[in-house]
Amino acid sequence: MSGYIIRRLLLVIPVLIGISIFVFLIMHLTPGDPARLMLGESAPADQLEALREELGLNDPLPVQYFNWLKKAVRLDFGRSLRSKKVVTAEIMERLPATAELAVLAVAISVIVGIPVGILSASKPNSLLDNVAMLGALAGVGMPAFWQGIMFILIFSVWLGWFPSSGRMGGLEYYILPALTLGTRSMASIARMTRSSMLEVLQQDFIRTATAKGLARFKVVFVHALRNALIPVVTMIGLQFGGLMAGAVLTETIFAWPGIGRLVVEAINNKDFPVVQGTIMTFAIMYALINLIVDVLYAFLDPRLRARYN
Amino acid sequence: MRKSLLVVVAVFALVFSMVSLAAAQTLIVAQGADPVTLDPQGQNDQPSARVRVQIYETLVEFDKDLNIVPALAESWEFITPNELEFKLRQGVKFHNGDAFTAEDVKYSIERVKDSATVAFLLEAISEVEVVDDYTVRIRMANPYAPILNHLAHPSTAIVNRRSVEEAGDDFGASVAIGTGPFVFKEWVSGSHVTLVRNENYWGEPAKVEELIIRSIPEGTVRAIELETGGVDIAYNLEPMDELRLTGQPGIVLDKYEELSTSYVGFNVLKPPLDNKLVRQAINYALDVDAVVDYIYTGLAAKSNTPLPPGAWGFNPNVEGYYYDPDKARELLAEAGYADGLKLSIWTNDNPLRMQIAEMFQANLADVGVEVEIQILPWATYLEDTALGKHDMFILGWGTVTADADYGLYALFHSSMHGDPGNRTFYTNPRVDELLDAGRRETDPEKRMAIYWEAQETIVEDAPWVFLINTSAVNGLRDYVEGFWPHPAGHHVLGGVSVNK
Repeated sequence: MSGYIIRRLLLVIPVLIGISIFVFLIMHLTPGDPARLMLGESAPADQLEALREELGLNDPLPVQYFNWLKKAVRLDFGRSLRSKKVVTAEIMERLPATAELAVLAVAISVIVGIPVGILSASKPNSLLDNVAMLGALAGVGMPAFWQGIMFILIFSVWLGWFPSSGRMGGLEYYILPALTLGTRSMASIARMTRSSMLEVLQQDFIRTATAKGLARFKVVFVHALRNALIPVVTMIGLQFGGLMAGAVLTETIFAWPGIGRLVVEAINNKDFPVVQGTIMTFAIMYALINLIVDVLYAFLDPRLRARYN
Repeated sequence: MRKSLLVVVAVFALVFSMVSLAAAQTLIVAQGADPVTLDPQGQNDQPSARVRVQIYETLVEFDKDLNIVPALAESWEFITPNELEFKLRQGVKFHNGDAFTAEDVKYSIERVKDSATVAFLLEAISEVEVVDDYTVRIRMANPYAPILNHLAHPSTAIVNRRSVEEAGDDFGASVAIGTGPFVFKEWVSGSHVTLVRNENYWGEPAKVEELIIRSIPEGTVRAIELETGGVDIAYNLEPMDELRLTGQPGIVLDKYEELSTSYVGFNVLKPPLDNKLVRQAINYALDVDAVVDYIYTGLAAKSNTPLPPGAWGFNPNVEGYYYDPDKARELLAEAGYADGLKLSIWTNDNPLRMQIAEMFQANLADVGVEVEIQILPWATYLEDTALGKHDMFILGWGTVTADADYGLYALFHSSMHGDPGNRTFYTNPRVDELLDAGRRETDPEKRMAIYWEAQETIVEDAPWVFLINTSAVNGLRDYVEGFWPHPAGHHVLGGVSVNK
């Protein structure tokens, strides 16, 4: 088992190196001289040259890359070109907001999505199944910006239950953005659970289990569910990774101080150190989440475990 | 019995007044974006300025009517046309306890001049001399009449040398030391900045104990926060939300004219646009009132001159152009284009500008001019218009110092061709002469006459289609008192109270 985890961990390294090269090159492949961007349109030539020298922009690319990498492995991405803030500190300030929201959203989507999928699968084509799947379809199809505004309108303006934006302390600020963010994952997880369950429920071992007189509950929840969960876990992992990086719309609507808004603003302003730092952070998180998913597989699937023991 | 009732009433009154006092201690304001840096000499952006004007102060400032009034300088005097002496306010303390002196003024002005982003504001200043602790002299290579307007710009605010040097690159990020009515407390990145009242303020202390400036990017959500009482003031409501909130109980909408101008620029070097008649014809062909009504839904006014009405030097007597397609056809025929002609108009992907371009296209089709619309990425747009690759382009300009020099010089002086601002490549020796004279002339009446003539000439030459001056709407809860909108958009909140 530990061999399996170590193998997986080692595989993360080449992935991160690949991404680091890509992220580093962003600065050099996009048009615009970073020194000019920092000093502005009207900076005199000698000042530009001095800054280029200081930033090491005159060195050959591979040298520049290794210098950058040396700092990056120590999580030093420099300072923002615009705000002069330390990039790592800025990311650490924004990351918790995004992580909280992503964890809540995934929790909501798992807690609702999986039971709905199981119920649907256990009575396929029943009224319950149809209603649930119609809801899931709507959930997948609803754009976040529309849903967010609707939630604000209903729950803040009309009912006055929750504040409409911000992360100003208190659980009430989390409910609407987490629900908005979780809706699409919830719907996807419900659909995936249902189809996976349906497939497993058709299989011989389920018939055997039913034939030997096991209770329906035990057949569904113990024998079928465990097998059906493998693709669902993959999906949850992917969703979680996506939510950590892709919550820009939700963060914008709810004025949530997350990392998604940070990276979009940085891209718009060509603030390279911030872009590089955040993209590396996303890459590391994606890799970690995938690692966790892989380990979870081993728990769920004895065949995998057997192979590495 | 009666006595005890009185006591009960008194106690209740006391408790209530305490409750309302306690509740009135915080003012929450929402704007559309995060500040970038709280260093006045850092970035020159509106969201940052809106926070900074609460923390820092300039030597002079604008009052409600855009007159220059004393701030950190008590008085000033032109010793020679090139030399300006300031008497500084005494007994002013920075938020770190240091006394404010002439050395800080010298340091700050030199810091502005060294800044990559805001040096242009004080280019005219060549030297700062500290005469004594509370007297400072500013020398200019050439007389520069609007210098006081530039010294009222928030980016020229006075900083404290010790705190800037101690904080290094953290100045503006986690450290912000000024002399203003509010002291910086906390900046939660992406969420809000919290300021608290400066108890040692030299002037009238701030009315509220705590000021929270939130960033709420979505216009609709900003409006809803105001509606639900989550914020007390919401800046820059969008037209749709303005309509919805109009007449709602508890909400006051406060509309004000900004100092900005939107225009269509011609490339006056490129035929057929080098012909004044063609440029005038296009000015007559465009239905600007329709642009105001349908694209800006009233949050703008047609402009007749290049200056916004709020700017000093604005000429209200210039009649300008109006929608008259017949006259446009006549002028085109006179110029030799009776059979029509083909032009292109550029814009960046700004939704309002793209709509203006479409309306422009339809209007010009009416008079026989075929217009092709091209949408360019922002960086390319600025670069290529600076190089003069365009026929026509749509752009805006903010006269942030509220003075004609700022609103005309960079845009129409022949030394400013291309990147510095004159993207139409307009050249008129008489206008050059006037704009130079306007910088030197210190007599307000004569100076005003100079700018009036400059505007008449520019409008006659028509290097632009003069489009609109925009307005903005702030939304306030009705218990907010003492708010006045600064035309440059960075509203000062020391005098605002919350009377819930």
